[in-house]
Amino acid sequence: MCSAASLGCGAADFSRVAAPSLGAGLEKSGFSASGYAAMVAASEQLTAEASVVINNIGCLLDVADELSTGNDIIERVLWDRMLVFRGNMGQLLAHGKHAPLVQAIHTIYCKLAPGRQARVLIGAEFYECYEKIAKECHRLGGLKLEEPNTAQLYSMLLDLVQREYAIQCVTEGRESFYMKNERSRELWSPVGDIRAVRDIDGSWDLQAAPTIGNVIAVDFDSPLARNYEPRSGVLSQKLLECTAEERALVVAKLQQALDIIDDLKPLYGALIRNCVRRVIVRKSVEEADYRSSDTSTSPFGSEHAPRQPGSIRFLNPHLSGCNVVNCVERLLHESTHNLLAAWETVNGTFVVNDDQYRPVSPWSGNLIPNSSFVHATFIYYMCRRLFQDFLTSSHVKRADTKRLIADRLSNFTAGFLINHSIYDQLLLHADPKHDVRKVLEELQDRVKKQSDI
Amino acid sequence: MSASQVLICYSDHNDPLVRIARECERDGSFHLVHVDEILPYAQPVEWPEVLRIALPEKFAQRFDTTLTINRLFNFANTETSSKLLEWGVNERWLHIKVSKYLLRGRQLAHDLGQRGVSRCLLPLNTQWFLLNREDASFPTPMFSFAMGYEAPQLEIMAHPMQKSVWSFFDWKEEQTITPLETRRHRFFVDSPTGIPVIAFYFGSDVEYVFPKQSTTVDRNMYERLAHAARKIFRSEAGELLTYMEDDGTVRFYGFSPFLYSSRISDRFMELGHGWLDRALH
Repeated sequence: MCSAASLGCGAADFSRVAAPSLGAGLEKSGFSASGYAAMVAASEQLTAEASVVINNIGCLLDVADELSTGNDIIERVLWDRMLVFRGNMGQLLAHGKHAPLVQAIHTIYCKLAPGRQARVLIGAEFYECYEKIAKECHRLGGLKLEEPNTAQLYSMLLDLVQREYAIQCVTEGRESFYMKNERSRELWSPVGDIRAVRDIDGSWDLQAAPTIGNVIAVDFDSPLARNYEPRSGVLSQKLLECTAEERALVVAKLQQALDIIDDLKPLYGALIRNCVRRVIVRKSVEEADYRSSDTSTSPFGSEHAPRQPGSIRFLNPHLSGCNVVNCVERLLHESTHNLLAAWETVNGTFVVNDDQYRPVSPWSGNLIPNSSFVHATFIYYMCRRLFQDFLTSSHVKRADTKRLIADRLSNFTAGFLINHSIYDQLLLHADPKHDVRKVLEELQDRVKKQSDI
Repeated sequence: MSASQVLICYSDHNDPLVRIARECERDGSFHLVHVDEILPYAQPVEWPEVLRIALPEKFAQRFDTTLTINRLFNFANTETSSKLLEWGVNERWLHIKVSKYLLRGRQLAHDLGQRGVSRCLLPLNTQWFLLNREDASFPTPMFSFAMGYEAPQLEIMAHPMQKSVWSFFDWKEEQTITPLETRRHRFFVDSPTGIPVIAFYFGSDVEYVFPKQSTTVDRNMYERLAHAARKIFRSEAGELLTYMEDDGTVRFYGFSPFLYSSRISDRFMELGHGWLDRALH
C-alpha cells in the first residue's frame, strides 16, 4: 500500500526525523504537471495505483508496448523511487544526528513544505550527494564528519536544502539567513526550474527557466549545466554562451519534438514529462564554425546520468544540423533511461557494471556499460515503435525528413537482427537477479518476427 | 544437401584461408564466393526491407555445404563497400541479409556479423574477459580502460602503451588507433615482455610461429587455450598471440581470425589442408 500515511515504511530512522508527509503544496512549488507530479500532490489517493506490481522487470514491457497499465507503472516506479530517496535522506540525517551540521540540515529540511521536500529529493543533485556520502562512508568504514571530505559533502547537502528553503522564503516575501549571506547574485533551486536573482535594490526575484511541456525546465545556466565532468560526453565539452535567439530556437525544437511524441505515442509523452525535470543544454560549437568544419566528428550528443535523476543533457541542439527528428529520438531515448534507472533504484540494478569491461552496442558499435546496454535494448525498441508511426504521420512533410526517419528506423532495427541472443553481448560473470535474459530476448524476438529475417 | 562440400565466403582476396582452399582444390568440392559476386543480386529497397539479396537458386545451393567458412570480416577495398556507401545502406545490413545463406550449411566456421557483434571480432578487453570467464588459469595483461575523458590508471602498469581496443596487432607501437580513441575512452595495456609465441589452430590441430626466437612450448596448455578460443570466439580457425615471460608465465594478448601472422609457418598449409579435408569426410 502506498498511502501518504505509510510513507515512513522502510526507513525507520527517517520516519522519526523527517517530515511525515510529502502530500500537499506541490502545485504551488512549480509542479503543475499531470501524471507523477500531480500524483505526488494527491498522494492520499494513491491506494488505487498501489495494485500495480513493478518488482518484475517484465512490467517495463507494458510501458514499452503502451499497454493500459503503462501509465500506472511509470507513476508507481517514480513514486517508489521518491520513497527510496526519502529513505536515503533519512539515513543521512539519522547517521549523524548528533553532529551540529547534520542537525542544521535536518532543521532546515523540516522547515520546507512537503512539496519542497519532494523537490529536494527528486532534483538532480540530492541523489548524487547521497551516493558520494555513502561512498565516502564506505571508504572510511563509517560516517566520520570530522573528515574534510565527508564534511564537504554534508555541506553540499546543507546548501541544497538551504537553496530550496531560500526560494520558499522568497515566495513568502521573506529573505532567509542564507540569502542575506549569499555573495552570488543568484541561486538555483535543486530541481533547476527556478532561480532567485538579486535585484538592483537588493531584493530577490524568482525567475522561472523556460520549459517544455509546461514542466521540464530547459537549463542553459545553472551551475549543474555549466559544470565540467570528464566522464560526460556532453559536460566535458567547451562551454559557450547561447544567445537569446539560440535559446528560443532550442526550446522551440524540444517543444515541437515533445508535441510530436505526445501526438503519436501519448504514453511516451507522459513518460518524458513525468521522468524528466530538466534538460541541460551545452553549447560547444558556434553555428558558423559548424558550417565551415568537416563532418568527420559529430558535434552532437545527449546523455543521462543515473546519479542525477530527472536530468538529461543535450550537446549543441542549437545547431542547424540538429533537427526535430533528432530531438524526438534523443528526448525519448534519454527520458527512457531515466525511467529505467528509476526502476533500478527501486528494485535493484538490472546487471552489474564494470567500467573496464563494456559490451559492444550492436546499434552504435560503441563500448557501453552493461546497464546502458540493457537500457539501450528497451530504448531502441521504443524508438522503433515511435518512428514507425512517425514515418507515416502528418508531421512528416518533406522527403528528406522521411529519409532520415527511415534511416533511423533501419538503425534501430539492425541492432536487434544479430544472429545470436542479444543478452549474450553482455559481459557478466553470473546471471543477474532479475530475468534480464528473458525480457531482452523477448524484445529481440519481436523485432525479428516483424522484420521477417 | 549435395555431397560433402566446403564454402568460403570472403571479402579479402589475400585471405590466407582462400589461398589454402585454392591450393588444395580438387573435384570442385571447395566453393569460393567473394562478396562482390553477391553484389549483382543485391539492391537497396525502402524501409523496412532496406537491402534485398536474392541469389538465384543455383547460386544459393552452393551454400548447402558441410562446412561454411565465413570470412566476411570487413569489406574494405571491395566493390560492395563502395556500392553500399552509394546506396546509403549500412554494412550491417549486408551481414544481416547474407546470414540466411551462410546458415544453410551444416557447420559454420566463424561467427556472423560486424565487428563487435561477431564473437570472432571482439575488442581486446572483451576477449580477456571472456577467456577468464571460461578458464581463469590463463593470465591476461594489466590494462586500464578510461571512461570518457577520464585519465586512465597508468600506475597499475609497468610499461603502459596506448592501444585501440580493436587492434589485435601492433604490440610495439600502435598504428591503427583513431584520433578520437587517442583522446576519449583511452585504452592502455601493459606492454608485453618476453618471447612472443603465436599459436594458430585449425580445428583441434595447433601449431606455432615464433616471430622473434623459438622456444619450448607447453603443448598441452596451448591446446587448452585453443580449445577455449574455438568455443568463446566461435572460430574453428584462428591465431592466438601470447608472450612467454622470463618466469615462464604465458600471457594471452589477443585472438585473431585473420591468420595473417601464421601464414609464414611451414606447417600452415599442411594444417589448413588437413582441416578442410576432414570437413569433406
